[in-house]
Amino acid sequence: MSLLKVEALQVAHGPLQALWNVDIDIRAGEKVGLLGANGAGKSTTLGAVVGYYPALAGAVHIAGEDVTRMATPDRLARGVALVPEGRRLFTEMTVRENLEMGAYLREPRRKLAETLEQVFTLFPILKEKAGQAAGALSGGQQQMVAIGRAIMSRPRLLLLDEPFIGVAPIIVGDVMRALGEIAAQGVTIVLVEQNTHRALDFVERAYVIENGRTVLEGSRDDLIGNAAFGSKFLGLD
Amino acid sequence: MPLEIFVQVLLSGVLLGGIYALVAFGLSLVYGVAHILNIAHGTLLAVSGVVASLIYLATGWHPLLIIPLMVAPVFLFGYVFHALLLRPLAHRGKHDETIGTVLITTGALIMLSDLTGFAAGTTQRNIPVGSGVFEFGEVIVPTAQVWILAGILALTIVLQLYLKHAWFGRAVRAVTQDSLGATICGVNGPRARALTFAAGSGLVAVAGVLYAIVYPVDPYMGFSLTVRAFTIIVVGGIGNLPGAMIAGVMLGVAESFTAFLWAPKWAPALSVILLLVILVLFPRGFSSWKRA
Repeated sequence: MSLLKVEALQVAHGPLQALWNVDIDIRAGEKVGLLGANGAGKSTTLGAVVGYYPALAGAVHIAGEDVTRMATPDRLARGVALVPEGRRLFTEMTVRENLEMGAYLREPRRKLAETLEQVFTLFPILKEKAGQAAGALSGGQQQMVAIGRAIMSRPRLLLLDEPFIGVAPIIVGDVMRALGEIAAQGVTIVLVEQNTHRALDFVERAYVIENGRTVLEGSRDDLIGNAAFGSKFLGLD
Repeated sequence: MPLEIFVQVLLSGVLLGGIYALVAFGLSLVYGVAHILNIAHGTLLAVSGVVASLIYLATGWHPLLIIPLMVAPVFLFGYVFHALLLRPLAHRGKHDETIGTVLITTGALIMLSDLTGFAAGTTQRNIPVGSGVFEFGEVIVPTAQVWILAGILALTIVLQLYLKHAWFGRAVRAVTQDSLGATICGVNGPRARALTFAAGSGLVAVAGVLYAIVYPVDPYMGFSLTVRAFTIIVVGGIGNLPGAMIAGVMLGVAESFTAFLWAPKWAPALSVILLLVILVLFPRGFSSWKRA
């Protein structure tokens, strides 16, 4: 059964329609990429999955349940977490407070201490910086806080929106490895990434979004072998 | 100026500033969380003060009993007012929302003042609790004022601890710092905004009772308090309670000395002058140099 199913989704930002027809179907345990140019609708798709943007038409199902009309906290309670574009940390709160906010909902709150230890094991640097204001951290460390905050809700589906922007190249590998560990623990991952090469290093399968529509879907090898995809996204002739 | 006079003027300024800070807390939290500039905020203090004075006149109850009696209905009023008139504006654009909240709360200011004036009269009232005095050498301070000061201090500490440690308090700070970030943590933004607006209103009701014990209140005095509270939160930083307390006490002390050395009529101008001077020296308010 699919863990996330998005059907013929349409979303508008005020008078501007951003999504026209997005179809996504992701099974539990997969690592899937959403690829496409700037402004294609990748971030809007993730925002619509967590309910931050209401659907104009179409449907979002989480683990078989229709959540299209559900408020964000109810969707999160069903096991979705988002690492948003630009991280959106609480910059004047400490690292620890940021992480604890990730466990705001009732279920994760009960297991806060245990999950916090897991996050500190995943990103040991955050334990050292736990008492510092999140805004004082480097870009890479802030990204670790954003991922850690999402993990604090103990999700089964983790949505990541451009998690490598503003992260120093030598830290990208660390973050990548951490995501691999999270996936290895059974968390399904959806990665929005502009750098197609980097995305295809990580995901097993990807969707291509263009002008608010899913136009292509395939396994990593299918996509690399696809001539049109290769010339457009991988710089191959 | 003899030392004992100096200390007395200073203390009454600190007290006045503490009450200003209480007014500013609510305004600051509401602005931080909901981006509502509540022009009627000070008017809620005036109305609460007048109603509390009438209750005291009719019953003679201890002010400590009148405070919860006032807080509950004003909290409820704030909640309903927000739900009916302000929350619908959130679906408009940012520009409409800002202008809409200013217009609606200005309308509320006029209506609350006039309704209270119509029902209770426009005369100045207060809560004339009998009070002994503390004598520290030559300095004489009414005991009521000392208790009020202690109460304000305790309330500030409790509020600060609540915002720092309680889940809902943290949610309020989270919404203030990054609304989207708070939403994806599961914070119900609209509910946080409604409860903060209600709590800010309840807090100003507390300030209203305390104010009426020390100073006269009337239905039309609210706006000048709102202006002072604006000054305090600009200087002290949005959502920054210790900053608001420092700024409030500075303003209260400055007003107290101005009223004593020149004339009371100059005191209200001080908040505006203080605002100008401090914004020139610290363009981002105290919060910026505290963090730096």
